[in-house]
Amino acid sequence: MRKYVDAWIRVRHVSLAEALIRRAAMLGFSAVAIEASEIDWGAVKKAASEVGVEAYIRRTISPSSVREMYHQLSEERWRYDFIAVETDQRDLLMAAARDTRVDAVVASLPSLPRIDRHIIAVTNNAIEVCLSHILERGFAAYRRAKHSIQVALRKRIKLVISSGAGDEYALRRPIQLAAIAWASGASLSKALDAVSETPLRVLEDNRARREGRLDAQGVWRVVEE
Amino acid sequence: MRSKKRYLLVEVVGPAGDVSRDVMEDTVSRAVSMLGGWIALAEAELRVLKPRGWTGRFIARCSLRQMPTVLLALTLIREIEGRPVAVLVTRSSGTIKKLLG
Repeated sequence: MRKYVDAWIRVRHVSLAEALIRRAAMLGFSAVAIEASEIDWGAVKKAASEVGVEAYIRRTISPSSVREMYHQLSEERWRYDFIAVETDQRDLLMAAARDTRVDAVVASLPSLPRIDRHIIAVTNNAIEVCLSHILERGFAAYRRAKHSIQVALRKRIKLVISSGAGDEYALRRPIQLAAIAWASGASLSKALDAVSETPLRVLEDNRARREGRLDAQGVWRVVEE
Repeated sequence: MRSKKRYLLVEVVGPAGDVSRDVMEDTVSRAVSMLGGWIALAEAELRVLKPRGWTGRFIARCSLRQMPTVLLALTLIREIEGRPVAVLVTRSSGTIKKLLG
């Protein structure tokens, strides 16, 4: 059975965390990647364990230059389970798409530069489409998201679909998130992979790296009991 | 030839209160036509049902072919009659009997 993951839930205040996590669990998610301040993380994790949802910590960075992005990544990479980059600059997009310390590039912002063949050629990381961008910014964000999904499908780039929810009304069921890719031409199983297998594998690998069970080359440490 | 249908169990969450069948059908139709245009709306053969005694829950019927568009249209609904809502698709099936079973 598939395990569904919402790869982006924004907790702006710790008081909202429990309601958001409880709702995500009710909607069928068994893991969530939460963007919250490090001070609130303890309370967020406690709320998730009470509900029975696996919580991962996420950070979305919006650097103003490539240099700043490298600096932020060197400082913050291993403090988080998932790091995504939001940008409207082409050189930054290219650097973020190939940097192995980045997990995903947010590709549903209307201001995102066009993903051309030069960017595709260097892309190692996932492309992330966020439902809240489409809900908030409408057609422009949907057009950008659809184009990004089609590029990901055609060029076999990893695709992640997340809600980006900041409140309960922005959360949807996993099949509804997958519908963004399904309606853009993906098969149902590929669309569902974008809310289950793909983000889950990234999150589990990064958690293992942070805990020392997986090394930088991707070799698992097996401990005999 | 008769097209294959899909039935979606839909739940409306939010302070909009009890939404009538007509309002819901109008909202979903507008969302589908905004996404896929008149052609998608016509192909979807959309119909919204609200069995007696149900509050905040509906059954949406659409053609199998346009199901992704209808599902996405339901996902993108943010408000009904000016009040914020989330429309959640709880289940889907090829028959009403299985949907409710």
